Amino acid sequence: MSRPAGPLPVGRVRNFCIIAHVDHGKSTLADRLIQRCGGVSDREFRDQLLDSMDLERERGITIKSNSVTLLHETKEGDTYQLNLIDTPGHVDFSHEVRRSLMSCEGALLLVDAAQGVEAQTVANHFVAMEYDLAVVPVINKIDLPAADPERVREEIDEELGLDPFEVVLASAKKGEGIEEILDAIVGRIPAPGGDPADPLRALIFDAQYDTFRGVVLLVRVVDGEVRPGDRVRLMRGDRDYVVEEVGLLRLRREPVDVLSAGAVGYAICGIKRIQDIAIGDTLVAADRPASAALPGYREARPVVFSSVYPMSTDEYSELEAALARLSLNDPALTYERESSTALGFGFRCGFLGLLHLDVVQERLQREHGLSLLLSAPSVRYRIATRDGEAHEIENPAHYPDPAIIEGSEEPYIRASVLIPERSVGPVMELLTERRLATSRMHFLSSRRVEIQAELPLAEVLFDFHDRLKTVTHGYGSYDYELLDYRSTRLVKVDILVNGERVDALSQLVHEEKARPRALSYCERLSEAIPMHNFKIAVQGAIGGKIIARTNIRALRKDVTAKCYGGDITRKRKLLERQKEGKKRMKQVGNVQIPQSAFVAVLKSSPAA
Amino acid sequence: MIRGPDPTPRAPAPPSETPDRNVPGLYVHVPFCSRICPYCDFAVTPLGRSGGRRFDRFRKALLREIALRAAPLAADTVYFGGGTPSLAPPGLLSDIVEAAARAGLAAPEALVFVEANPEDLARDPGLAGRWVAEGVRGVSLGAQALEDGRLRFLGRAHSAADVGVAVSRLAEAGIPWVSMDLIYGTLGQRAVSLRKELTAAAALPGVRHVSAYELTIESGTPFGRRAAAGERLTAKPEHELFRVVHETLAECGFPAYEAANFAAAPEFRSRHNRKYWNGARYVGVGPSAHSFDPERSERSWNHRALAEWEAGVLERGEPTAGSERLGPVERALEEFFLRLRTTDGLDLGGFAERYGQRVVRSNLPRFRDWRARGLVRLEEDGAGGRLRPTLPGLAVADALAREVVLDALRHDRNAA
Repeated sequence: MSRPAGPLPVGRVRNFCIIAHVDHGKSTLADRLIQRCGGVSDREFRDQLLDSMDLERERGITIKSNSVTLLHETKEGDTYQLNLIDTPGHVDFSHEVRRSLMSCEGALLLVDAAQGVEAQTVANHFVAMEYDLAVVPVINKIDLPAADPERVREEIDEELGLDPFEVVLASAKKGEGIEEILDAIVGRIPAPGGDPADPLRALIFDAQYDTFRGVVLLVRVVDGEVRPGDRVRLMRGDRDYVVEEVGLLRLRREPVDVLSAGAVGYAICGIKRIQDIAIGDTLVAADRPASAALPGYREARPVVFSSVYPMSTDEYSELEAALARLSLNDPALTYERESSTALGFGFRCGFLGLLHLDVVQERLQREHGLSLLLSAPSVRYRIATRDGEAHEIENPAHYPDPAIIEGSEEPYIRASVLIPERSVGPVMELLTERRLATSRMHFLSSRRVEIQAELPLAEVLFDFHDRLKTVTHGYGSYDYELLDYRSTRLVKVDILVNGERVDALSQLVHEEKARPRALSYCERLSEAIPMHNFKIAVQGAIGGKIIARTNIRALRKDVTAKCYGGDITRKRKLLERQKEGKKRMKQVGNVQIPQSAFVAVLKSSPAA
Repeated sequence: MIRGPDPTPRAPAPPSETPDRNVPGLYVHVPFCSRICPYCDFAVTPLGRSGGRRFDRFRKALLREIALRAAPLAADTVYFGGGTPSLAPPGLLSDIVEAAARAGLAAPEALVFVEANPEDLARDPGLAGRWVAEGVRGVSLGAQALEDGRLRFLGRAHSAADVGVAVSRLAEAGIPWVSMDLIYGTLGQRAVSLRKELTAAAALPGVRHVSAYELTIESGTPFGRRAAAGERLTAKPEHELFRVVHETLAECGFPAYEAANFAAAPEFRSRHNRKYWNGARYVGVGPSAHSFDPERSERSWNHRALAEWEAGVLERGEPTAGSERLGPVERALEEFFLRLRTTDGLDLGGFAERYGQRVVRSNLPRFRDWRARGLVRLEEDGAGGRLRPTLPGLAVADALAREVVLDALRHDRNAA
């Protein structure tokens, strides 16, 4: 049941978030907190309420952050307003995590009692320290048979440098430790500062799109206050808006008269398009604009690219409409039209990372019922040409003539790889194979090692996660941040079928990787193209130079064994079905390639 | 009895190189077998102990169906297929042929062919003679193999020795047309042993025709289930064996005239089966039998299960389970794939006449491409000409039929 959320003094407000590795139980804990604080009636309660999209619930990952205001009454009878700011739980969304953290004074650092501290736990903890947040360590899932809270307590002490005696033990699933967590939020996280009398400065940490109200800004008021009727503007925008409504993020939006310094809530200002705002921007008063923006804005730049084609060409316009709809709520998703001789019309799409790509793909398929073909993910290269021009290229189709290329650069990342000590050898081998530039190793504890590795982003896009899990027997995890662009030796590998280039299979790769990648494509393609009644050569080529080749033998026997008796209908119908199947194939030169062949070649192992 | 035995035992049936499309063939399906072979997916049923009674009811239903059928022309061939027609009690074959003649379905001088299992001829020394007396002119012997190991693998009831006995009894009785049915490509079969078997089959006295089918695994059969469970039942590579069959039989004087059929001389080519391949009219009686009326462009088929067919005929006077009308595209596709299985190939002039010039013209580049790859011989002759598959072409006839484009017909109202 919701109680009145009347104005509470800022001393009774706590802004916090939960940071955790994927699957350590963040959403379940959020649910318990909401339930305990009556933020939601039983009828309205659904498991993992903050993950509003089906997809997020299914994967156990929160993709779009949400927030909710909880009212908590302490044993002493004082009511506190606890603003839980949800954070996305994956490396692709690291900047969104930062933005959430900027809106808080404290964080619950959730660690799985069986899994212990993992790469993202460490990364998130560093960010929390950077923003000077009060961190409350919580060991969750203590009810699990494999739970080892004492070992995890040690890891929290040794690997994170947090006071092991401040650890709260909990089982969000069973509802254990929830009271202690709420007490710790009130007791250990400071109340927000800020002066309501100062000029308004509110950080836009997220936004939603409401079909009826337009853009709903989720804000943390840092200074000043905002109320309906105020004229406001966005620091990075060029026009003023009138505030229509402000309120608290209860389960439903709950209007209030004013949001003051320290408050977390929403503001509706008649903004029509999500493209008109930028997450991380600062909301200021139009008549008394603050001079400095809050830190927090960073353009969401796609770093991973893939071509998306509808399996059936007549679904092209549906795909376009679906992408348009998705990008409304997901400004990081970019797409532009492209066409392929083999696959028809499609889109070159940009994503924040592999998980983002995966999530978008699944939403397109599930929510929009599309069946899609995606090219292997790639990165954006910088290419300098001899005429002194610089080009950013993420699509092999736009790769310039190698003769005019002066040099190429590719994005590098710093990966933080957390592994058991005994896996150091195989992991270093894996990293070296992935063109490792530099690495530093340090022991987090006697058993666990962190390797900080600098390597090309492109190298983690291709089944890196799976390989890491394999060589560490499931115990390794990694996180990464983008570093910089570095010089590289790039080549464009084409795949030829009987001498005809299959444009959808061209790719930009590092010179060293060209031959193995080309061979793997040729092999997969030869397995997936049915035999024709002539021999087919499948080749990988750099320009005019063939670097890999496989053959598909000519069909030598394809005739029904017996064709006697009057049942010719059955044989004809079989032929008709086969003829229909051929029509759906893509014609490259004189070779017919079934869609399944593209799927077999293009599919890369899914992210996380 | 329609006709006595031919006075000259070895005299072949009169040759008829281009059977008239309008003279029909009559097919009679006899569904009974003493045991069911594990590869067979025809409409068959084990005869069992009460075989006599079952044959009585079957005869009754067949006679009834024949009375129900009408045909504008009498058939010049009557073919008893199965199942195992050699299990038929004495007099059944001639009764059926006579009834068909009375009903105008078959001409009194129609040539009668019977499928037979070797063990039936080996067990009953008088059987071949009785058939001759009943008017049988041709026997298709279900030998399938001439090696006892392969016969056991195929679940057959006879031995290789039975085949020899059966063939000599047919020759002694003076059956003028004897064909040998063989199945090749069983697990473990090698080119060398296949060649030996084929040579032996071709050398048997009186054998004028060979049908050699590659073992095909059909779902719903015991072999189908075993293959689905992961068992390998066929020999590899199959294209190799296909070539061995064609080359060996040609060397033995049995050149192919169809993908799976070989004759010692043109006059020994199957007169009945060629009706199916030529788009001729045929009438089928008995369970699962198909009929085709080229004028109405209609194909119909009887109930497949014996009990259903019998009930349909005897209780409702309706043996037919379904039918379809073929449009020009369907007709053209059938003609194309059937003709490309034959060494005579496709007469392009006639094809153009029936389906329009456009469909031939638009496919000419494709035909030329096939010729360049050695798959066909193409005799171009203005609007006419002929497309004949070579041996490699015969081996991929289905692939060629998938490549030919007949879509133009869909919009061409004047065609056919």
